[in-house]
Amino acid sequence: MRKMLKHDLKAIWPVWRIVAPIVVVLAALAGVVVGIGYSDYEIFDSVYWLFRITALLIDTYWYLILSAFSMLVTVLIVVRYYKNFFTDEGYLTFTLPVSRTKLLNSKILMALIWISATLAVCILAALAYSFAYELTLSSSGYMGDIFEDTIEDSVESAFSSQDIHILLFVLEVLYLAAAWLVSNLLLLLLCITVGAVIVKRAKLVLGLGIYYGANAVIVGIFYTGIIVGIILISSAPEISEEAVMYMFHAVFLMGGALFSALGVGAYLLNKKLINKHLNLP
Amino acid sequence: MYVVECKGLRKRYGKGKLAIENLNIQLESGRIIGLLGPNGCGKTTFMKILTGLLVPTEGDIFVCGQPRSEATNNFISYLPERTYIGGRKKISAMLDYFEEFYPDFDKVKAYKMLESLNLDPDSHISSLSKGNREKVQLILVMARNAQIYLLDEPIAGVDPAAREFILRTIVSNLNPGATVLISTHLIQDVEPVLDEFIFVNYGGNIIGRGTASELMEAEGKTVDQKFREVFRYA
Repeated sequence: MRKMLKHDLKAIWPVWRIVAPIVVVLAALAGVVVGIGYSDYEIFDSVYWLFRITALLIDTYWYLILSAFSMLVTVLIVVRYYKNFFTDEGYLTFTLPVSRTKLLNSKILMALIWISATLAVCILAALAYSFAYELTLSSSGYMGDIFEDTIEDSVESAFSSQDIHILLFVLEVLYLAAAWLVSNLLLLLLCITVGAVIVKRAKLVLGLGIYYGANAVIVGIFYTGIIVGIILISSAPEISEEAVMYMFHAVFLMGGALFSALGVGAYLLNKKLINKHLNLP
Repeated sequence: MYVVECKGLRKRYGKGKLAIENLNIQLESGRIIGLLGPNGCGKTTFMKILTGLLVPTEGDIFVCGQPRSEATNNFISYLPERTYIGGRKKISAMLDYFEEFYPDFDKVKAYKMLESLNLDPDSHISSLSKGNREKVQLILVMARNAQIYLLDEPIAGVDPAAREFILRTIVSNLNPGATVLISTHLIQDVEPVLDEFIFVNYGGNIIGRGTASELMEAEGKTVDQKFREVFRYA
Protein backbone atom coordinates (compact mmCIF):
# COMPACT_ATOMS: atom_id res chain seq x y z
CA MET A 1 0.00 0.00 0.00
CA ARG A 2 2.93 2.33 0.70
CA LYS A 3 4.02 1.94 -2.93
CA MET A 4 0.52 2.73 -4.20
CA LEU A 5 0.27 5.75 -1.95
CA LYS A 6 3.64 7.05 -3.12
CA HIS A 7 2.53 6.90 -6.76
CA ASP A 8 -0.84 8.45 -5.97
CA LEU A 9 0.80 11.34 -4.13
CA LYS A 10 3.37 11.83 -6.87
CA ALA A 11 0.64 12.08 -9.50
CA ILE A 12 -0.96 15.20 -8.00
CA TRP A 13 2.20 16.81 -6.60
CA PRO A 14 3.41 18.42 -9.89
CA VAL A 15 0.22 20.50 -10.17
CA TRP A 16 -0.21 21.15 -6.45
CA ARG A 17 3.35 22.39 -5.85
CA ILE A 18 2.87 25.08 -8.51
CA VAL A 19 -0.68 26.14 -7.67
CA ALA A 20 -0.36 26.19 -3.85
CA PRO A 21 2.33 28.93 -3.67
CA ILE A 22 0.45 30.92 -6.35
CA VAL A 23 -2.69 30.81 -4.19
CA VAL A 24 -0.81 32.12 -1.13
CA VAL A 25 0.91 34.86 -3.15
CA LEU A 26 -2.38 35.87 -4.82
CA ALA A 27 -4.08 36.03 -1.42
CA ALA A 28 -1.28 38.24 -0.09
CA LEU A 29 -1.52 40.48 -3.17
CA ALA A 30 -5.27 40.69 -2.71
CA GLY A 31 -4.65 41.76 0.90
CA VAL A 32 -2.23 44.47 -0.28
CA VAL A 33 -4.67 45.84 -2.86
CA VAL A 34 -7.54 45.86 -0.36
CA GLY A 35 -5.31 47.49 2.26
CA ILE A 36 -4.33 50.26 -0.15
CA GLY A 37 -7.89 50.65 -1.39
CA TYR A 38 -9.24 51.14 2.12
CA SER A 39 -6.47 53.62 3.01
CA ASP A 40 -5.84 57.19 1.98
CA TYR A 41 -2.32 57.24 0.57
CA GLU A 42 -1.72 60.57 -1.17
CA ILE A 43 0.28 59.10 -4.05
CA PHE A 44 -2.84 57.23 -5.22
CA ASP A 45 -5.14 60.26 -5.03
CA SER A 46 -5.60 60.50 -8.81
CA VAL A 47 -6.69 56.86 -9.09
CA TYR A 48 -8.24 56.62 -5.66
CA TRP A 49 -11.65 55.59 -7.01
CA LEU A 50 -10.04 52.74 -9.01
CA PHE A 51 -8.32 51.37 -5.92
CA ARG A 52 -11.49 51.68 -3.86
CA ILE A 53 -13.62 49.80 -6.40
CA THR A 54 -10.94 47.16 -6.91
CA ALA A 55 -10.57 46.79 -3.15
CA LEU A 56 -14.31 46.35 -2.72
CA LEU A 57 -14.44 43.70 -5.43
CA ILE A 58 -11.40 41.81 -4.18
CA ASP A 59 -12.55 42.10 -0.57
CA THR A 60 -15.85 40.51 -1.56
CA TYR A 61 -14.53 37.85 -3.91
CA TRP A 62 -10.93 37.03 -2.93
CA TYR A 63 -12.01 33.82 -1.24
CA LEU A 64 -12.93 32.54 -4.70
CA ILE A 65 -9.21 31.93 -5.18
CA LEU A 66 -9.42 29.43 -2.31
CA SER A 67 -12.60 27.89 -3.69
CA ALA A 68 -10.99 27.48 -7.11
CA PHE A 69 -7.92 25.88 -5.54
CA SER A 70 -10.04 23.46 -3.48
CA MET A 71 -12.10 22.66 -6.57
CA LEU A 72 -8.97 22.01 -8.61
CA VAL A 73 -7.62 19.57 -6.00
CA THR A 74 -11.01 17.81 -5.80
CA VAL A 75 -11.10 17.48 -9.60
CA LEU A 76 -7.57 16.04 -9.61
CA ILE A 77 -8.53 13.50 -6.93
CA VAL A 78 -11.70 12.49 -8.77
CA VAL A 79 -9.97 12.20 -12.14
CA ARG A 80 -7.16 10.11 -10.67
CA TYR A 81 -9.63 7.80 -8.92
CA TYR A 82 -11.81 7.43 -12.00
CA LYS A 83 -8.97 6.94 -14.48
CA ASN A 84 -7.06 4.46 -12.35
CA PHE A 85 -10.07 2.31 -11.55
CA PHE A 86 -12.63 2.61 -14.31
CA THR A 87 -10.85 3.34 -17.58
CA ASP A 88 -8.30 1.24 -19.49
CA GLU A 89 -5.76 2.13 -16.80
CA GLY A 90 -7.74 -0.26 -14.60
CA TYR A 91 -6.13 -3.07 -16.60
CA LEU A 92 -2.85 -2.06 -15.01
CA THR A 93 -4.22 -1.16 -11.57
CA PHE A 94 -6.22 -4.31 -10.95
CA THR A 95 -3.60 -6.73 -12.26
CA LEU A 96 -1.03 -5.51 -9.76
CA PRO A 97 -0.33 -7.91 -6.90
CA VAL A 98 -2.26 -5.61 -4.56
CA SER A 99 -5.72 -6.31 -3.14
CA ARG A 100 -8.63 -4.18 -4.28
CA THR A 101 -9.27 -3.06 -0.71
CA LYS A 102 -5.71 -1.79 -0.43
CA LEU A 103 -6.06 0.02 -3.75
CA LEU A 104 -9.21 1.72 -2.49
CA ASN A 105 -7.63 2.58 0.87
CA SER A 106 -4.66 4.08 -0.90
CA LYS A 107 -6.93 6.32 -2.97
CA ILE A 108 -8.86 7.45 0.12
CA LEU A 109 -5.71 8.13 2.10
CA MET A 110 -4.22 10.03 -0.84
CA ALA A 111 -7.36 12.14 -1.11
CA LEU A 112 -7.38 12.88 2.63
CA ILE A 113 -3.73 13.90 2.57
CA TRP A 114 -4.27 16.28 -0.35
CA ILE A 115 -7.46 17.71 1.14
CA SER A 116 -5.67 18.34 4.46
CA ALA A 117 -2.72 19.93 2.68
CA THR A 118 -5.08 22.08 0.62
CA LEU A 119 -6.95 23.13 3.75
CA ALA A 120 -3.65 24.10 5.37
CA VAL A 121 -2.73 26.18 2.30
CA CYS A 122 -6.15 27.87 2.40
CA ILE A 123 -5.61 28.79 6.06
CA LEU A 124 -2.13 30.04 5.21
CA ALA A 125 -3.58 32.07 2.32
CA ALA A 126 -6.21 33.59 4.63
CA LEU A 127 -3.50 34.54 7.10
CA ALA A 128 -1.36 35.96 4.26
CA TYR A 129 -4.35 38.03 3.13
CA SER A 130 -4.99 39.42 6.63
CA PHE A 131 -1.31 40.02 7.29
CA ALA A 132 -0.78 41.83 3.96
CA TYR A 133 -3.93 43.86 4.56
CA GLU A 134 -2.78 44.90 8.05
CA LEU A 135 0.65 45.84 6.77
CA THR A 136 -0.68 48.00 3.95
CA LEU A 137 -3.50 49.70 5.82
CA SER A 138 -2.56 53.30 6.60
CA SER A 139 -4.54 53.45 9.83
CA SER A 140 -6.14 50.95 12.13
CA GLY A 141 -8.31 48.78 9.89
CA TYR A 142 -11.86 47.80 10.38
CA MET A 143 -11.41 44.27 8.97
CA GLY A 144 -8.26 43.55 10.94
CA ASP A 145 -9.82 44.65 14.18
CA ILE A 146 -12.79 42.42 13.71
CA PHE A 147 -10.58 39.46 12.75
CA GLU A 148 -8.30 39.90 15.75
CA ASP A 149 -11.09 40.67 18.18
CA THR A 150 -13.06 37.61 17.15
CA ILE A 151 -10.09 35.28 17.57
CA GLU A 152 -9.01 36.85 20.83
CA ASP A 153 -12.53 36.85 22.24
CA SER A 154 -13.09 33.22 21.27
CA VAL A 155 -9.81 32.02 22.77
CA GLU A 156 -10.29 34.04 25.92
CA SER A 157 -13.84 32.90 26.46
CA ALA A 158 -12.92 29.29 25.72
CA PHE A 159 -10.01 29.05 28.10
CA SER A 160 -10.49 31.66 30.79
CA SER A 161 -14.20 31.38 31.27
CA GLN A 162 -15.60 29.11 33.91
CA ASP A 163 -18.04 27.85 31.36
CA ILE A 164 -16.79 24.72 29.65
CA HIS A 165 -19.50 24.87 27.00
CA ILE A 166 -17.56 27.11 24.62
CA LEU A 167 -14.57 24.77 24.58
CA LEU A 168 -16.87 21.82 24.01
CA PHE A 169 -18.60 23.66 21.16
CA VAL A 170 -15.23 24.29 19.50
CA LEU A 171 -14.35 20.58 19.74
CA GLU A 172 -17.79 19.56 18.53
CA VAL A 173 -17.64 21.89 15.54
CA LEU A 174 -14.19 20.52 14.65
CA TYR A 175 -15.52 16.97 14.90
CA LEU A 176 -18.58 17.86 12.84
CA ALA A 177 -16.46 19.55 10.17
CA ALA A 178 -14.01 16.63 9.98
CA ALA A 179 -16.83 14.06 9.85
CA TRP A 180 -18.61 16.09 7.16
CA LEU A 181 -15.44 16.44 5.08
CA VAL A 182 -14.45 12.76 5.26
CA SER A 183 -17.99 11.45 4.72
CA ASN A 184 -18.39 13.79 1.75
CA LEU A 185 -15.22 12.43 0.19
CA LEU A 186 -16.25 8.82 0.81
CA LEU A 187 -19.70 9.51 -0.60
CA LEU A 188 -18.18 11.12 -3.69
CA LEU A 189 -15.92 8.11 -4.33
CA LEU A 190 -18.82 5.72 -3.74
CA CYS A 191 -21.03 7.56 -6.24
CA ILE A 192 -18.31 7.45 -8.89
CA THR A 193 -17.99 3.69 -8.31
CA VAL A 194 -21.76 3.25 -8.52
CA GLY A 195 -21.80 5.18 -11.81
CA ALA A 196 -19.00 2.98 -13.18
CA VAL A 197 -20.62 -0.25 -12.06
CA ILE A 198 -24.14 0.34 -13.33
CA VAL A 199 -23.60 1.93 -16.75
CA LYS A 200 -21.19 1.49 -19.64
CA ARG A 201 -21.10 5.05 -20.95
CA ALA A 202 -20.90 8.46 -19.30
CA LYS A 203 -19.94 6.71 -16.06
CA LEU A 204 -18.31 9.74 -14.47
CA VAL A 205 -21.19 12.06 -15.36
CA LEU A 206 -23.69 9.65 -13.83
CA GLY A 207 -21.49 9.17 -10.75
CA LEU A 208 -21.26 12.92 -10.17
CA GLY A 209 -25.00 13.27 -10.80
CA ILE A 210 -25.73 10.65 -8.14
CA TYR A 211 -23.34 12.43 -5.77
CA TYR A 212 -24.99 15.83 -6.15
CA GLY A 213 -28.42 14.26 -5.78
CA ALA A 214 -27.44 12.32 -2.66
CA ASN A 215 -25.65 15.33 -1.24
CA ALA A 216 -28.72 17.53 -1.74
CA VAL A 217 -30.85 14.99 0.15
CA ILE A 218 -28.33 14.70 3.00
CA VAL A 219 -27.89 18.47 3.34
CA GLY A 220 -31.69 18.83 3.22
CA ILE A 221 -32.12 16.32 6.06
CA PHE A 222 -29.33 17.97 8.06
CA TYR A 223 -30.75 21.48 7.80
CA THR A 224 -34.30 20.30 8.41
CA GLY A 225 -33.06 18.65 11.60
CA ILE A 226 -31.38 21.86 12.71
CA ILE A 227 -34.44 24.01 11.94
CA VAL A 228 -36.79 21.61 13.71
CA GLY A 229 -34.39 21.55 16.68
CA ILE A 230 -34.30 25.33 16.88
CA ILE A 231 -38.09 25.57 16.66
CA LEU A 232 -38.52 22.98 19.41
CA ILE A 233 -36.00 24.71 21.64
CA SER A 234 -37.46 28.18 21.11
CA SER A 235 -41.02 27.03 21.62
CA ALA A 236 -40.30 25.04 24.77
CA PRO A 237 -41.72 26.79 27.83
CA GLU A 238 -39.55 27.67 30.80
CA ILE A 239 -36.39 26.08 29.52
CA SER A 240 -33.16 26.92 31.30
CA GLU A 241 -30.08 28.31 29.57
CA GLU A 242 -28.12 25.26 30.68
CA ALA A 243 -30.66 22.93 29.05
CA VAL A 244 -30.45 24.89 25.79
CA MET A 245 -26.66 24.48 25.86
CA TYR A 246 -26.99 20.71 26.28
CA MET A 247 -29.48 20.57 23.45
CA PHE A 248 -27.01 22.33 21.16
CA HIS A 249 -24.28 19.89 22.23
CA ALA A 250 -26.64 17.05 21.33
CA VAL A 251 -27.37 18.58 17.92
CA PHE A 252 -23.66 18.95 17.10
CA LEU A 253 -22.81 15.46 18.30
CA MET A 254 -25.75 13.91 16.46
CA GLY A 255 -24.69 15.74 13.29
CA GLY A 256 -21.14 14.43 13.71
CA ALA A 257 -22.42 10.90 14.38
CA LEU A 258 -24.71 11.10 11.34
CA PHE A 259 -21.85 12.08 9.03
CA SER A 260 -19.53 9.49 10.62
CA ALA A 261 -22.11 6.74 10.04
CA LEU A 262 -22.63 7.98 6.50
CA GLY A 263 -18.88 7.88 5.84
CA VAL A 264 -18.49 4.36 7.24
CA GLY A 265 -21.50 3.15 5.24
CA ALA A 266 -20.20 4.73 2.04
CA TYR A 267 -16.77 3.16 2.54
CA LEU A 268 -18.12 -0.34 3.22
CA LEU A 269 -20.47 -0.20 0.24
CA ASN A 270 -17.71 1.09 -2.03
CA LYS A 271 -15.40 -1.69 -0.84
CA LYS A 272 -18.05 -4.30 -1.57
CA LEU A 273 -18.78 -2.90 -5.04
CA ILE A 274 -15.12 -2.76 -6.00
CA ASN A 275 -14.37 -6.23 -4.65
CA LYS A 276 -17.46 -8.07 -5.85
CA HIS A 277 -19.15 -6.17 -8.65
CA LEU A 278 -16.55 -4.23 -10.59
CA ASN A 279 -15.98 -5.87 -13.97
CA LEU A 280 -13.80 -3.92 -16.36
CA PRO A 281 -15.24 -3.95 -19.89
CA MET B 1 1.26 -29.41 -10.70
CA TYR B 2 -0.61 -27.38 -13.29
CA VAL B 3 0.16 -23.69 -13.68
CA VAL B 4 -3.53 -23.01 -14.23
CA GLU B 5 -6.42 -25.17 -13.14
CA CYS B 6 -10.10 -24.23 -13.38
CA LYS B 7 -13.00 -26.31 -12.12
CA GLY B 8 -16.61 -25.57 -12.97
CA LEU B 9 -15.87 -21.98 -13.99
CA ARG B 10 -18.91 -19.88 -14.83
CA LYS B 11 -19.19 -16.22 -15.65
CA ARG B 12 -22.38 -14.30 -16.21
CA TYR B 13 -22.41 -10.57 -17.01
CA GLY B 14 -25.24 -9.03 -15.04
CA LYS B 15 -28.47 -10.86 -15.77
CA GLY B 16 -27.43 -11.67 -19.32
CA LYS B 17 -26.25 -14.91 -20.84
CA LEU B 18 -23.33 -16.91 -19.54
CA ALA B 19 -20.05 -15.86 -21.13
CA ILE B 20 -18.49 -19.01 -19.70
CA GLU B 21 -20.86 -21.89 -18.96
CA ASN B 22 -18.77 -24.58 -17.33
CA LEU B 23 -15.08 -24.43 -18.01
CA ASN B 24 -12.76 -27.13 -16.73
CA ILE B 25 -9.21 -26.69 -17.89
CA GLN B 26 -5.66 -27.49 -16.85
CA LEU B 27 -2.58 -25.86 -18.35
CA GLU B 28 0.85 -27.40 -17.99
CA SER B 29 4.07 -25.48 -17.48
CA GLY B 30 6.58 -24.75 -20.22
CA ARG B 31 4.07 -24.64 -23.08
CA ILE B 32 3.08 -22.03 -25.63
CA ILE B 33 -0.65 -22.52 -26.01
CA GLY B 34 -2.97 -20.93 -28.54
CA LEU B 35 -6.44 -20.20 -27.18
CA LEU B 36 -8.44 -20.11 -30.39
CA GLY B 37 -12.08 -19.49 -31.00
CA PRO B 38 -14.63 -17.17 -32.63
CA ASN B 39 -15.40 -13.66 -31.36
CA GLY B 40 -17.33 -13.64 -28.09
CA CYS B 41 -16.54 -17.22 -27.14
CA GLY B 42 -15.09 -16.23 -23.76
CA LYS B 43 -11.33 -16.18 -24.42
CA THR B 44 -10.83 -12.66 -23.10
CA THR B 45 -13.26 -13.30 -20.24
CA PHE B 46 -11.20 -16.33 -19.21
CA MET B 47 -7.96 -14.32 -19.22
CA LYS B 48 -9.56 -11.48 -17.29
CA ILE B 49 -10.80 -13.90 -14.65
CA LEU B 50 -7.31 -15.35 -14.28
CA THR B 51 -5.87 -11.89 -13.68
CA GLY B 52 -8.65 -10.81 -11.33
CA LEU B 53 -10.12 -8.16 -13.63
CA LEU B 54 -13.40 -10.05 -13.61
CA VAL B 55 -15.05 -11.75 -10.70
CA PRO B 56 -16.25 -15.26 -11.64
CA THR B 57 -19.87 -16.15 -10.95
CA GLU B 58 -18.91 -19.66 -9.83
CA GLY B 59 -16.00 -22.05 -9.87
CA ASP B 60 -12.54 -22.66 -8.50
CA ILE B 61 -9.38 -21.25 -10.04
CA PHE B 62 -5.87 -22.22 -9.04
CA VAL B 63 -2.77 -20.46 -10.28
CA CYS B 64 0.53 -22.22 -9.62
CA GLY B 65 -1.29 -24.35 -7.06
CA GLN B 66 -2.74 -21.39 -5.15
CA PRO B 67 -6.35 -20.22 -5.18
CA ARG B 68 -6.61 -17.13 -7.37
CA SER B 69 -6.05 -13.90 -5.47
CA GLU B 70 -4.09 -10.68 -5.83
CA ALA B 71 -1.03 -12.68 -4.68
CA THR B 72 -1.24 -14.94 -7.74
CA ASN B 73 -0.85 -11.84 -9.94
CA ASN B 74 2.82 -12.17 -9.00
CA PHE B 75 2.94 -15.26 -11.24
CA ILE B 76 1.00 -13.79 -14.16
CA SER B 77 2.18 -11.31 -16.75
CA TYR B 78 -0.84 -10.07 -18.69
CA LEU B 79 -1.01 -8.24 -22.00
CA PRO B 80 -4.58 -7.03 -22.52
CA GLU B 81 -6.01 -6.17 -25.91
CA ARG B 82 -6.32 -2.57 -24.72
CA THR B 83 -3.55 -0.06 -24.25
CA TYR B 84 -3.42 0.91 -20.60
CA ILE B 85 -0.34 3.09 -20.64
CA GLY B 86 -0.63 6.75 -21.42
CA GLY B 87 -0.29 10.23 -20.01
CA ARG B 88 2.73 12.37 -19.46
CA LYS B 89 4.87 9.62 -17.98
CA LYS B 90 8.16 8.70 -19.58
CA ILE B 91 8.79 5.12 -20.70
CA SER B 92 11.55 4.89 -18.08
CA ALA B 93 9.01 5.86 -15.38
CA MET B 94 6.80 2.95 -16.44
CA LEU B 95 9.79 0.64 -16.18
CA ASP B 96 10.43 1.93 -12.65
CA TYR B 97 6.76 1.39 -11.83
CA PHE B 98 6.87 -2.23 -12.96
CA GLU B 99 10.15 -2.83 -11.16
CA GLU B 100 8.62 -1.52 -7.97
CA PHE B 101 5.51 -3.69 -8.06
CA TYR B 102 6.84 -6.88 -9.67
CA PRO B 103 9.91 -8.43 -8.09
CA ASP B 104 10.42 -10.56 -11.22
CA PHE B 105 10.69 -7.54 -13.53
CA ASP B 106 14.04 -7.48 -15.34
CA LYS B 107 14.85 -3.86 -16.06
CA VAL B 108 18.03 -4.66 -17.97
CA LYS B 109 16.08 -6.93 -20.27
CA ALA B 110 13.47 -4.20 -20.75
CA TYR B 111 16.11 -1.62 -21.72
CA LYS B 112 17.64 -4.06 -24.20
CA MET B 113 14.25 -4.67 -25.78
CA LEU B 114 13.63 -0.91 -25.99
CA GLU B 115 16.98 -0.48 -27.69
CA SER B 116 16.25 -3.23 -30.22
CA LEU B 117 12.99 -1.46 -31.06
CA ASN B 118 14.65 1.96 -31.30
CA LEU B 119 12.48 3.31 -28.52
CA ASP B 120 13.97 6.08 -26.39
CA PRO B 121 13.36 5.40 -22.67
CA ASP B 122 13.13 9.16 -22.11
CA SER B 123 10.25 9.54 -24.55
CA HIS B 124 6.94 10.55 -23.09
CA ILE B 125 4.29 7.89 -23.60
CA SER B 126 1.81 10.49 -24.83
CA SER B 127 4.18 11.29 -27.69
CA LEU B 128 4.27 7.69 -28.95
CA SER B 129 2.14 6.31 -31.75
CA LYS B 130 -0.46 3.66 -30.91
CA GLY B 131 1.77 0.95 -32.35
CA ASN B 132 4.75 2.08 -30.29
CA ARG B 133 2.64 2.19 -27.14
CA GLU B 134 1.63 -1.39 -27.80
CA LYS B 135 5.28 -2.30 -28.22
CA VAL B 136 6.16 -0.64 -24.90
CA GLN B 137 3.32 -2.53 -23.25
CA LEU B 138 4.61 -5.80 -24.74
CA ILE B 139 8.10 -5.00 -23.43
CA LEU B 140 6.72 -4.35 -19.95
CA VAL B 141 4.95 -7.70 -20.01
CA MET B 142 7.75 -9.75 -21.52
CA ALA B 143 10.48 -8.24 -19.34
CA ARG B 144 8.96 -10.02 -16.39
CA ASN B 145 10.25 -13.46 -15.47
CA ALA B 146 6.71 -14.67 -14.84
CA GLN B 147 5.36 -18.21 -14.64
CA ILE B 148 2.42 -17.45 -16.90
CA TYR B 149 2.09 -14.99 -19.76
CA LEU B 150 -1.43 -14.19 -20.86
CA LEU B 151 -1.36 -12.46 -24.23
CA ASP B 152 -4.71 -11.27 -25.52
CA GLU B 153 -4.53 -10.50 -29.24
CA PRO B 154 -0.85 -9.50 -29.11
CA ILE B 155 -0.52 -9.18 -32.90
CA ALA B 156 -3.92 -7.78 -33.82
CA GLY B 157 -3.82 -4.50 -35.69
CA VAL B 158 -0.12 -4.55 -36.58
CA ASP B 159 1.55 -5.08 -39.94
CA PRO B 160 2.95 -8.53 -40.87
CA ALA B 161 6.57 -7.47 -40.26
CA ALA B 162 5.71 -6.21 -36.81
CA ARG B 163 3.78 -9.44 -36.11
CA GLU B 164 6.90 -11.44 -36.81
CA PHE B 165 8.93 -9.20 -34.57
CA ILE B 166 6.39 -9.41 -31.74
CA LEU B 167 6.27 -13.21 -31.91
CA ARG B 168 10.06 -13.36 -31.95
CA THR B 169 10.13 -11.03 -28.93
CA ILE B 170 7.68 -13.27 -27.10
CA VAL B 171 9.55 -16.49 -27.80
CA SER B 172 13.07 -15.16 -27.26
CA ASN B 173 12.26 -13.39 -23.99
CA LEU B 174 10.35 -16.17 -22.43
CA ASN B 175 11.20 -17.23 -18.93
CA PRO B 176 12.29 -20.91 -19.20
CA GLY B 177 9.55 -23.16 -17.88
CA ALA B 178 6.91 -20.47 -18.30
CA THR B 179 3.55 -21.06 -19.92
CA VAL B 180 2.25 -18.69 -22.58
CA LEU B 181 -1.42 -18.51 -23.40
CA ILE B 182 -2.04 -16.59 -26.62
CA SER B 183 -5.51 -15.60 -27.68
CA THR B 184 -5.69 -14.62 -31.34
CA HIS B 185 -7.57 -14.87 -34.60
CA LEU B 186 -4.39 -14.69 -36.66
CA ILE B 187 -3.74 -18.40 -36.40
CA GLN B 188 -1.45 -18.69 -39.40
CA ASP B 189 0.95 -16.19 -37.85
CA VAL B 190 1.16 -17.78 -34.42
CA GLU B 191 1.03 -21.42 -35.54
CA PRO B 192 4.81 -21.80 -35.94
CA VAL B 193 5.42 -20.90 -32.28
CA LEU B 194 2.59 -22.91 -30.72
CA ASP B 195 3.23 -26.08 -28.72
CA GLU B 196 -0.46 -26.67 -28.26
CA PHE B 197 -3.82 -25.31 -29.38
CA ILE B 198 -7.17 -25.18 -27.62
CA PHE B 199 -10.36 -24.60 -29.62
CA VAL B 200 -13.00 -22.78 -27.61
CA ASN B 201 -16.60 -22.43 -28.70
CA TYR B 202 -19.36 -20.11 -27.43
CA GLY B 203 -19.84 -20.29 -23.69
CA GLY B 204 -16.19 -21.13 -23.18
CA ASN B 205 -16.69 -24.76 -24.13
CA ILE B 206 -13.52 -26.56 -25.16
CA ILE B 207 -14.18 -28.49 -28.34
CA GLY B 208 -10.68 -29.45 -29.36
CA ARG B 209 -7.19 -29.62 -27.97
CA GLY B 210 -3.88 -30.97 -29.21
CA THR B 211 -0.55 -30.15 -30.79
CA ALA B 212 0.07 -28.93 -34.31
CA SER B 213 2.27 -31.95 -35.09
CA GLU B 214 -0.36 -34.42 -33.82
CA LEU B 215 -2.99 -32.72 -35.96
CA MET B 216 -0.79 -32.80 -39.03
CA GLU B 217 0.02 -36.45 -38.43
CA ALA B 218 -3.58 -37.54 -37.82
CA GLU B 219 -5.46 -35.39 -40.35
CA GLY B 220 -2.82 -33.79 -42.52
CA LYS B 221 -4.12 -30.33 -41.63
CA THR B 222 -2.61 -27.22 -40.12
CA VAL B 223 -4.20 -25.64 -37.04
CA ASP B 224 -5.48 -22.82 -39.25
CA GLN B 225 -7.13 -25.26 -41.67
CA LYS B 226 -8.68 -27.19 -38.81
CA PHE B 227 -9.96 -23.98 -37.22
CA ARG B 228 -11.67 -22.95 -40.47
CA GLU B 229 -13.24 -26.38 -40.71
CA VAL B 230 -14.50 -26.45 -37.12
CA PHE B 231 -15.80 -22.91 -36.98
CA ARG B 232 -17.14 -22.69 -40.52
CA TYR B 233 -20.22 -20.44 -40.77
CA ALA B 234 -23.25 -22.09 -42.30
